[in-house]
Formats: sequence, C-alpha cells, structure tokens
Amino acid sequence: MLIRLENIRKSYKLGNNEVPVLRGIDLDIDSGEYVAIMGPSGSGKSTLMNIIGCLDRPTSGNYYLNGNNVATLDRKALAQIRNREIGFVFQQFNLMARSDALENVMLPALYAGTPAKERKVRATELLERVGLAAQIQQRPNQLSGGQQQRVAIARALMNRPSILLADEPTGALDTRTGEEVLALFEELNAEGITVLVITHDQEVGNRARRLVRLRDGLLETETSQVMSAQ
Amino acid sequence: MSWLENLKIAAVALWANWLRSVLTMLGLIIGVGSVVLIVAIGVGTQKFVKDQFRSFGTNVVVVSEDRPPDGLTQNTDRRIKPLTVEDMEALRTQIGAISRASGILSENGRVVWNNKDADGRIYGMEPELARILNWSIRKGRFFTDQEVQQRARVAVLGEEIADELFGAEQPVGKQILVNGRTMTVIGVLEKRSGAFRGYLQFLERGAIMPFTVVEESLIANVTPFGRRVRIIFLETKPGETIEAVTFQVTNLLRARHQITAEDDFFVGNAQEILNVFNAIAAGLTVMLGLIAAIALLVGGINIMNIMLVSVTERTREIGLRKALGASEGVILAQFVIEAVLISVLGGLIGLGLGWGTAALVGALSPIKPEVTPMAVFLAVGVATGIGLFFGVFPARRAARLDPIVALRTE
Repeated sequence: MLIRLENIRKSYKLGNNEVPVLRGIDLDIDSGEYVAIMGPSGSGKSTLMNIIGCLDRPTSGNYYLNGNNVATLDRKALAQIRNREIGFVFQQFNLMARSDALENVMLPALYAGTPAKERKVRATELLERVGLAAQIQQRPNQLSGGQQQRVAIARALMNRPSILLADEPTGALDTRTGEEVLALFEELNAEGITVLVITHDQEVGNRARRLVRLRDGLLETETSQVMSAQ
Repeated sequence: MSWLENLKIAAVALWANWLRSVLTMLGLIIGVGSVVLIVAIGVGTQKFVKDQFRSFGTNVVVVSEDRPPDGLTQNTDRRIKPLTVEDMEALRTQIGAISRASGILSENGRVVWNNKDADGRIYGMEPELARILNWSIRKGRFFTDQEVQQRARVAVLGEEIADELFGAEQPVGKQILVNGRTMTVIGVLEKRSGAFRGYLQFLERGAIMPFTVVEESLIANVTPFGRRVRIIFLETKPGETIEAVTFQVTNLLRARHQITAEDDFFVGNAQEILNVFNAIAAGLTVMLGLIAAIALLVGGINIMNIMLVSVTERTREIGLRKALGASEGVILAQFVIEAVLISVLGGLIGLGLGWGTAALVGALSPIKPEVTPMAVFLAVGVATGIGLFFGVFPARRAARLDPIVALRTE
C-alpha cells in the first residue's frame, strides 16, 4: 500500500471554536493508481491534499506513506518527504520566473543533493519526455501555459517520487492544452507512476481510473472507473 | 546543497533586482568607505608628521620663548626675559652634553632692488635648520656652513617678496639692499601649499641670511638682556639621554633668567612633540572611526529592512521552494547568504570607494593616506559580520513561513 489514511481528522481554531474540516477520512491508494479527489469548495479537498502532500499535519489519525507513519514527523523530515516522495503540480504552475526550464526542473534535485551532472542529464531527459526538448533554455514567460505546466510536471518527476500530486492541474489552461496535460498524466500512469489529482472539474475527474468524492469533510462515494476508462 | 549553489541562487536573486541591491548596499558602502578613508588618513597623517620630524632627529632639543599672547597676560608679576644669543652661547659652552647650538635671529627689514622696495622680515640662521625644517628651494641654492663662517653677504628670499621685487625677472645673482646692506640673492624658497602652509608661511615674506651676518646688524632686537633669538636648536652628543639634557637646559635657563615661579621659556624635543601629536591623531582617528561605525550600523539595519521586504515579496517563492523539499535550514541559508553576499559586495565597493578617495586626497595634499591590510581586513570582515547579524532575522522569518500560507499568497 502506497498511501493509507486512517481516520484522518483536521480542525482549525476559529476564535474559541474548533472548526472541523476533515472529519475522519479513511483512504487507501495503491502504487500505480490514478485517483481523482473531487468535491465542491469547502469540502476539505485542499486540506486533504496538503496532508497527503506533507505540507500539513492532521489533528489526529494516521497517515502511512510507503508504510511509514508521517503524521508524527517533524518539519525537517516532512521537507525531505516532499522532496523525495511527492511531486507537486499546481494550478498556477509555480515556476521560478528568473530560471529557465532546465533550472526549474533541476530545482528539487538541488535540494536532494544530487550531483550537478546527474541533475542536468535527468532534467534534460524529463524535458524531452514531456516534449519540450527545444524549450530547455526558455524562461516561463517565453512558454505557453501548457508548456509551463509540462515543465512543472517534469519538475515534479525529477526526484522519482512515489506519487504525483496535482492540484487543479488544468484549472488555468484552455480545453485543448488541458487535454494535453491529462493525456500526459495517463501516459505517465501507464508507465507506472501513481497519480493523484484534486479537482472540482467533473471531466478531469472522469479521466481518472478511480474517483473519490469529498463532501463536508467526509468521503462520500467511491466509484471505480477502471472499466469505463478502458 | 552546496554553498556554491546557494551563492549562485543568491547572485541571481540580487542581479534580478540590481538597482534595489545597490540601494540596499548604499548605507554599507558609505560606512565602509568612510571607515577605510578615515583610518587611511589617520595612518597617513601620523606617517607624514613622523617624516617631518625624522630629519629633526631624536637628539635635538628645542628651546623657545614661552610668553602669553599680547594683552592676555594673566600673571603681572611674571617678568618675561627673551631668549638671547648669550643664552645660546651659555647653553653650548656650559652643558657638556650639547655638541652644537643653533638659533634663528629675526627682525623687521626693508628689502630694496632697482628702486623698488618691500617690507619683510629678516632671518639669520644656519643651513642646518633649513634641512631640519624641510624647506625646499625653488631657484638657486641655500647658503653653506662655510658662507656662515665667512659672513658671506648672501640672501635667500621668500617667494612672495621675491615676486614683489623682481616680477618676471630672475632674482638669483642680483644685488639687493637689506636694511641698507648689500646682499647677493642666491636662492628663492618654494611656497608651501596645503595643510602645512601656515607653519612655514612666515617665510614667504622673509629674507634668510647667514646667522653671523644678521647677528652683526641686529638693531631692533637688541634687548637689555642681549640679542634676541626666536628659537634655539641644541644637538646632543651621542650617548647622552634627551631627558638629561632637557633637565640641564631647563635648570641653566632658570638660573640665567632668575625664575622663581613660572618658566618664561619652553624646552621640548622632537620625540615629545611627536608623542603628543600621535596621541591626538590616534584619538581623532578613534573618534571619527566611531562615527563611521554608526554609519555601518545604519547600513546594517538598512540591509535588514530591505531583506524583510524582500522576504515578504518572495513569500510565494519561499512556499514553492519548501513544497519542492527545501528544508528550513536551506531557506535560512539562502537568505543569510543573500544578505552576506550583498554586504560583502557593499563592503568591497565601499573599500574601493574609500581607497579611491584616499588616493585622491593623497594626490591633492601633502598627507599620503595609507590603506593598511588591517583596514581592508576589518572593512570586509565587519561587512560580512553585519550581513550575518542583520541577515539572520529576515532569513529566520523566511525559513519559518508556513508553506501552505506562503503558496496561497499572490
């Protein structure tokens, strides 16, 4: 089991009140799955993503990533997990404006301490893999939205993470380029990478092989879409 | 993640906003620049003064009159006796430790050439003094010891009086009348400029002649006590201590001037004067250095302010870096390195600026400021320290940012 969430709860203090956002989430995700988490605004999907992405810790409950309980780890250990185990893809791409595509892709490896030469070889390969061999030295402002998102995906894959975690990856793209990104996810998933997409877009959700719905901090229904996807 | 990579990230960040980076450095540039300049001028001044005194030698004792300025006599009982040629002779003959005595005679005089005349001052002395006092000759030459012995009728003129009498004509070789006596002009003194002009300004309207020649004709300065000498230089024999000679000179003059209370003369030596001067110069350097240190402090606070603004502006970038796996330590290092880099650059620019200004001062004045390795080390060291000290607070703030909040920031 790649991810196991056991009774994950998260609440925020608002004055004297505890506001529960996640009210006991149980979820298992296997290696190689392509899962979409869907839910309306306020359903807690961003909080769930932050917890799965080790950007935040649950108030209670256990979160096992590759069998290790990460709910109790300190900030430094969480940083290391974000670096090695999780590849983030954001709605707004979040590329470094002053760095070119290659430097952006190499950044996670810089924090992992990978030797410079190895970094460069791997980042170049990844950019070729996402179809940007010709744009290696271009800066984000010289790239289209779809190209920027592909640079971000290459960056997310840099340290060979266990999981690709995408938050509304097509939210800032038009339909056609969004489609390209989703096609890339499918390709990557077919190559064995676990993909977890958080979205409120039903069409994006339908592309996943498994769809998890979140409402008011609880998992609502779970649909296996394996058949329909094939 | 290596230091070099961190340094590169910092350099890119600073270059991306180079104008702000320069403005951030400005306080530090001024601070370091002024520290370097002040210390350089301090060292240069001490050296200059030391050089001025070097020819003096440490075996010279100087005696001068010590009288209150006109109209400011506080003690009416105090009878001032002038220093005289007789005093000088007594010192030379009665104190065994003195090998040689020489003095400056002076009186007002009228210098005439070719029906033009000028008021000036006549000085009688030995050539040794010109060397001791570091005078330079613009044209011609100074008179020699031989000419002093032979009572040669020769004169060296101050530049101002020479220009007034001769204009464009060549004064050297011309016959002039000094208080009615015919003298041959053999040289013209060079006018001093800069800080030490005042100290030799009296020579600009002077006619300098052999001691023996002036001694013969001294009229105005013949006092009831004898012929007045402005200043006496005494050279001690090798092996005699300057303190002992100073003591003997003081005692002999007290006896000769029948002093009961306050001395009417002053006995000093080069080392004493030099020590006093050095103490003053060192004190001034420290004081000015402290003022410059305040500028450094302000420069450091300026860096901290701008770094804090920079952290706020780059919140999203910091959040992203954290999401990509940068630990708090890495973010801390990134911003500290940025602050240190900006400080070191500022320090180096300040050093260059201070050095350049010091060189300019050196080119325009007799004082040659000297940038010592110590000052360089201190300037760069202090700049680095300031970067570290004032960079840590903003860097900690950056490191502690919550990545979720940071990523959400627009």
